[in-house]
Amino acid sequence: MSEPTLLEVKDLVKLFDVQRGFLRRKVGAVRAVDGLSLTVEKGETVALVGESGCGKSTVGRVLVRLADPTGGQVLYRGTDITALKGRALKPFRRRVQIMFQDPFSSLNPRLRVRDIVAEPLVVHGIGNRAARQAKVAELLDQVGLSPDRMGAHAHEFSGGQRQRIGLARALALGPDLIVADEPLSALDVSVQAQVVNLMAELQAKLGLAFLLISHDLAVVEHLSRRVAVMYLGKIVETAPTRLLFSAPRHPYTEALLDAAPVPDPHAGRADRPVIAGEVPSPLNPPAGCRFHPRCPLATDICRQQEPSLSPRDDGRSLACHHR
Amino acid sequence: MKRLLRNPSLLIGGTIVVIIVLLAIAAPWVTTYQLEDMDMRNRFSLPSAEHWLGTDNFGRDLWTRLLYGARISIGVAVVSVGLAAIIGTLVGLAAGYFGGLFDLIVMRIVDVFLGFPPLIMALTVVAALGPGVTNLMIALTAVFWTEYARVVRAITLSQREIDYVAAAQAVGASWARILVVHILPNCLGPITVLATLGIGTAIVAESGLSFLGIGVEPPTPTWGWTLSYGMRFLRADPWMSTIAGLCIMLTVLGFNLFGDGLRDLLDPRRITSGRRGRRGAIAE
Repeated sequence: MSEPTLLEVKDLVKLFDVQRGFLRRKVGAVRAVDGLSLTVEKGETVALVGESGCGKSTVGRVLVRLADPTGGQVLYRGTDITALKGRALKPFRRRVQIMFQDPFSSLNPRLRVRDIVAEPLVVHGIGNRAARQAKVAELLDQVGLSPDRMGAHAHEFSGGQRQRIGLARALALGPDLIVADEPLSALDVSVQAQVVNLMAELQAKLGLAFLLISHDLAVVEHLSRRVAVMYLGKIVETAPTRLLFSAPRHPYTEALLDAAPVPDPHAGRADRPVIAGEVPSPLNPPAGCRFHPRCPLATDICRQQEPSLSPRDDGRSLACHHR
Repeated sequence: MKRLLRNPSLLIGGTIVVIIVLLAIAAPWVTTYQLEDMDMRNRFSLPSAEHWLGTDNFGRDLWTRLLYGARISIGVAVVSVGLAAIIGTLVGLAAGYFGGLFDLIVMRIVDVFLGFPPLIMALTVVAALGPGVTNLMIALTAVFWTEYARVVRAITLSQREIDYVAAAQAVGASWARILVVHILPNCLGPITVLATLGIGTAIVAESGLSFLGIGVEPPTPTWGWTLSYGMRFLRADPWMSTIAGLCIMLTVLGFNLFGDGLRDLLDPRRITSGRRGRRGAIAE
């Protein structure tokens, strides 16, 4: 029997209650993540893409248990971690770590790099001071920073270097999976390339898996093996990266790919209509298929019945009545 | 050091505070009189070589009375502000970090305290517990702690949402560690400034209560009592009240200038220097 899937998310739901008034009466709920399923295998990179506000970051926060899920299961190597609390969660915390979008707010400006990177070790009671020091030096070296600078404060580093420090901190406990929440979007392009290469290199060396949360399709195409496309709290299509980029099937995936800029001023836009309108409010998502108000293919069935995410022959899964 | 010199209010305020505190500590050595030495031939005397700041209605040396009074006034102010800062900070951290029902209840209690006019509050506490230095400190603490609770809670609320706190939570850091390592250091600057300014307010409050006769009881020498007792002879001899008032004014001015200067120095926008960063040592 093969080893269990590294991370399996089943029907994950995360609602945020909307409260009003003095008594904090509940008047509704934002359905940020609404029945999302996803798997990440050991050592692979899975990308989660979608436009702003679709719930991507919430998924990441729930997976590292910064937020508690409202429903569904998160299986790490076959164990459900949604039921674990406090101390029981600690072993899991060693295995799954997070990397943040903003390299400025993710590092405490009052601490030295040494203390920032060592924090996970201190919290988990690993090694004595000297051993931790050596480990920090090793981690910094691993992410391409000089260990000589571990006495410096975070503000003495550039954005890219700070992101490397964040990565070093995430690596400190030797995780299997790093949830990377838009790790590159705050960096400029040349620095992005360096960090992308570093992530790929570490993945090859350490057998790390990444869940890459991003809206940058170029980065996704370069880094990930599989892509899951998210729309309003649900996954509409997941497929191996090459297949998804060459032959998108879901109308939303098509629209998303068309919206990405092409680095050739003479290339024409694809011959499909640009999707109209705004993302509907997750407070009150449309009935039936959530994409139907903006979908060029929508028919009556789309308005009434919600399509389920079903596997297709070519290795992808799709939630659409028409494709 | 250079920045210190470019900050005149910090320098002047600091100098005043240091001189007054040193004089209060060194009181027995900078005066030849005992507290209760009376010189009946020289009542209500103006400053002279014999009595540097003159004498009061019993012919007691004012310089001596005011020096020892500084011990009481500054002591009461420092202790009550310190207690208020500690209590307020703990309450604010807990309310801000844990939120929810606890926060709601705690902050309503704060609102109740704020709803009382400060003087009435202090009067009530002293009336309930009786006069005396200890009870006066309790009364002032009860008046001042809410300010710290509110400020610290506000800072905690904003800090709690910052990614480095999330990163600490993601590695499983305990709430105590997160509060001490990541949130408290960001509160220390504002608390220090508030406390320094608060000492000025507390000195005035202590003097005010003693002036009203509900603070420290005579014969303990306090500035408020000297000021208020001198009022009785104000027309014939304004010196006694005036010098006590000047004393209060100068001290409060010193603390306020020092607090203002400190605020400029610790302004978050200027935290980029390494000096501030040494707070990081708390992490260990």
